[in-house]
Amino acid sequence: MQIEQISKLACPERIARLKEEMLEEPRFASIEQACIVTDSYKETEGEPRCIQRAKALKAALEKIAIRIEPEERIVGNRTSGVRGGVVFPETGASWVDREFETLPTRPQDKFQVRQEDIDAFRRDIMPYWRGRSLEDQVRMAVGSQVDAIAKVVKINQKDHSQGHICPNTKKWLKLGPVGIRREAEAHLDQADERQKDFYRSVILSMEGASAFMERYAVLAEKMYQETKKENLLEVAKVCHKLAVSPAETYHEAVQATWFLYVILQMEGNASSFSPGRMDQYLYPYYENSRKQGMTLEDALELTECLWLKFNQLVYLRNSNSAKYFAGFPIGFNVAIGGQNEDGSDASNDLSYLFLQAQSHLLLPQPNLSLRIYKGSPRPLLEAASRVIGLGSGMPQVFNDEAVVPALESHGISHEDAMNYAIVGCVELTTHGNALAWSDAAMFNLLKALELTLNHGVDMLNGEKTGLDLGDLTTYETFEDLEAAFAKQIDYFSDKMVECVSQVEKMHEKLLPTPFLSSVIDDCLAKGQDVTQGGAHYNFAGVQAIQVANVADSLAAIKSLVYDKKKISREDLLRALQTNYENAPLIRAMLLNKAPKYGNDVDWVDQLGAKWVNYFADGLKKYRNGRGGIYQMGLYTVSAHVPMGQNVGASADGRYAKDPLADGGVSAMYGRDGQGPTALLQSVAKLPFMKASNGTLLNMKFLPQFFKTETGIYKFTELLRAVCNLGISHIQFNVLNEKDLRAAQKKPEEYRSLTVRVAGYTAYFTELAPDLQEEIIARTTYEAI
Amino acid sequence: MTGIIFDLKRFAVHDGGGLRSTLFLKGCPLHCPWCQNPEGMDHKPALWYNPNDCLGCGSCVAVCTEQALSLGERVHVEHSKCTLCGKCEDVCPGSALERMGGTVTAKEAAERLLRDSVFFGADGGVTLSGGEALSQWEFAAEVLSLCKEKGTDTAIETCLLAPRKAVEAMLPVTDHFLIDIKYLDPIIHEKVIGVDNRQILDNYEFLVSQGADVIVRTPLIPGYTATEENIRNIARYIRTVDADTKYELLNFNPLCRSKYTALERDYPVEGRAFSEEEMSGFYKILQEEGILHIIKE
Repeated sequence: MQIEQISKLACPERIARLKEEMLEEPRFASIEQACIVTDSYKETEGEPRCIQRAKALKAALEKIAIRIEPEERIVGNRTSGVRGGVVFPETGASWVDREFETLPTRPQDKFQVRQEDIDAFRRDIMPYWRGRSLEDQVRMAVGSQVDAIAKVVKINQKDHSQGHICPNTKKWLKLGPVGIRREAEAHLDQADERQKDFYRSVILSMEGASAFMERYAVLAEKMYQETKKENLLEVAKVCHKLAVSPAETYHEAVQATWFLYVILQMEGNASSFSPGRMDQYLYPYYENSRKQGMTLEDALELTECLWLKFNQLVYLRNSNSAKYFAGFPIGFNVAIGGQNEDGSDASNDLSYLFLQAQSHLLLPQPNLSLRIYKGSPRPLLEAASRVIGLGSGMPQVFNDEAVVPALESHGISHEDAMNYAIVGCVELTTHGNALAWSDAAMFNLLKALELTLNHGVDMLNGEKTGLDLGDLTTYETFEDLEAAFAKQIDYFSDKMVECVSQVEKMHEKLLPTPFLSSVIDDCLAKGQDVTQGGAHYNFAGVQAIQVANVADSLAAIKSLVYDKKKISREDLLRALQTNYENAPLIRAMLLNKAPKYGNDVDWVDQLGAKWVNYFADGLKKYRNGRGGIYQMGLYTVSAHVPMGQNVGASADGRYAKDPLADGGVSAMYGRDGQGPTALLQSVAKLPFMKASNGTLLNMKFLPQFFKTETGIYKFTELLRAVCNLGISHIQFNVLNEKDLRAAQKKPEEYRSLTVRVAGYTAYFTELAPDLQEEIIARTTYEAI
Repeated sequence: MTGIIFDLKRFAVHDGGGLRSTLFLKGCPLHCPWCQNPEGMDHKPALWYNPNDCLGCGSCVAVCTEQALSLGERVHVEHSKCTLCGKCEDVCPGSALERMGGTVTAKEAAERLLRDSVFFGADGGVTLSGGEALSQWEFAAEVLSLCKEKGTDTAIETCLLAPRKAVEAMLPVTDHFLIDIKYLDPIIHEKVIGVDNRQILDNYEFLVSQGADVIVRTPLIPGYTATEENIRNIARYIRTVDADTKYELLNFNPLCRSKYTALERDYPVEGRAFSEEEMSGFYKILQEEGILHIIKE
């Protein structure tokens, strides 16, 4: 390996120029694909849905306006502008209709709009999709059920495709669109009618893919004739080759990879498709090109071209969804390092090149993840720690020691578990053979506790939404309260699973995804789309939220109300109902006189673990719409802010509507006073074996920690301890308040300042003010 | 064997190698005007009041049977009347009142220190600090001995103002001695700190003669120790005692001022931490004096 040489590579000048151009370009909402797709649907009325979908995709691939920057070496986008917000009426049109005018001014994830687009949308697109889109169909089928539980359970995927999928990129590189088309053709003969439609839909998609690549070849050739820029000639050759045959060189493999993700997004418009272990499957191409004389500089430049591309697709969400997942995360999650199936180390030159690319660009995408294990080589940990110290929040760290056994205990083979990747933000997946439906729902345990303390009545609006099991004053013992809490959780779990199943059915009916299915193992063999359960693994994931607040609230109630009787049950209930209005001393006692999760106090941490366990075990009895099991996750992305807005005052001393603890397994901000090791010890007591959908711990460090070699070394020691503690995932935010205040005042000067929001990195200046404040308020570990 | 401690810090990254847990023992024979841990100076526990966490509710005054507390703009503690009964601490709804210093057995102390052993790795471990750790040397030796039994790396931060038998007791259980030399001149030492430094230097030379791993440290205090002459003298001296000596300069940390506010005392040191350039100036002196191992953070 050439670790030393790679660490000295500078950022190529071409990349610096392309980056600047990209960031300067304004973002617009785009209806171009919506127009093409709508026209196609009108023409294919009556055909099977998978054929309709494939033809619509093919039409878009053949017709959508394309653009190449004169200096680009890796090309392709789904709009001609960069970072366009693609209106996708198949999944959601009604909300666009409602919110179109507000896109430029809404608090989170703003897009500019053109009046003629708004007019065309209302004239040509909206009328066709009214009542037909996923959003409208879901609303008709299950809307009232979803609304009835909304304060406790947020059901997702109601107006967009699922995503959170790691396709089999290795296969795509090996076969290319032509090879996959042939594979589908070979299956056609023995197929039954329904399978035949599926195979035909795959063939149509692949024809579209080849055409799309060839269009880039033609455009690059034309631009080369005009400009004589060598990179354009190279682009033309690469794209032309990929349209007809598989990749062989590193350049071709990188370009082919990018085309795959652009087309997946054009088909699915999903919150994320993740490349996964790119340092593994791109390595043979890298090695091949190196042998043929490719320099390290060239390999880095191509990598960084791809890194820029990862930032050019963003995801247009509705305004509510944008609060939960702020900063247009689209989750091109790239995992590096880790182990091979036999337990040997998997890192290679590309692992280091990817880190170097990240250190140069410091952009929100790709969402770079480092897999560590007990034997991780020190140079890799040190290189990664240096990049973490730069403060882009990446790489985020995943621990094989915790993740692999968790996956295996959920029915995943050892081989697949060792080859795990991460999708989206922090969700765990196998590589190329799963539809894990990772974000089926978010379950607000703290809200369920509120209802349990108050006759099933919402303390914020007085509506009865939960089971009436009594209130705090009627529970004679802490055990009585816990028994009622358990019933409340069961009640909402049942309702949640009903809703999720209905949403899944709607995806199967309306949104088959033949292109995606062609790169998910077992779909072609079974002749079945992923939405029908064609994938080898079929999971659904639900997030339990939020362990810190539940543990702290229950600990305070147990200790101060039931055990020490310092606060009466009546007084506490009244204080909660009135949001501590006349009870500052009660609130002070709750805050100061009861121990908190995150300080390595066993009984408090065990309370958190107990309820997370209870929730996870409850999921075991359900099956999802594709026949697979439910998995629990422990993460919120940015949802701890809006989910907190749904919850009244809680017994941990939190005011009504204040944010919940961030991340997923983090302590409530400012309440982990014993430093990072105590926090980690607390976190390690949670059942990571059961949280196979993914977890999230946020830790903040000041940049000073990383300024010296000793600091870097001590940080790697911390990572090693995390391995031994069996915590599956940590993200490190390295920031200081001064930077952030300055960025609030002069956003234009801090355009590229990125911060970790939770499961991903966003541009700080593009976050809504309350999220900015929240990030500033979080605790930061100074060196002691 | 019990000892009186006033704090235990986990994830200590600045004193000794790797990641460490540091135990702070109460009581110190020196009276450095710049002391960073004034709450550790006294040998006895004391009631600690933090005005920032005070809600001004007066519950503590009402519950005190000794009339040791009074409420004005803030709570005033009459330490001579306080019997450390803990009623006020218990009743305070905030965390403004706290008994600083508690008695623990050596076994308890070792267990708490070793709780983070998963973080210690190859070169991390436990450190005893203070106050002055050797002012309770029998306790200190037992704590470190219990840690050593578990194979843990051990270190002690000390000013070495202690009887020779204390130093001898620590030798077999201590992997690293981080020793403070503030001034070389015994007269200045006595004038500023209240005691002369002959015993300190004797013990230092003894440790070196025994082949102990010693890091000499000098806190750079503006207006006090941070003069070229003082640093040069110390460097020259330790270089003579031990040609291979390790020397670390500790930059001034003004953050302890808030502790003095809490104690209703003035902090006598003006000034700020030294800049990187100023630190380079000090390091240059060490180089000129032939210090081979300059320890930096």
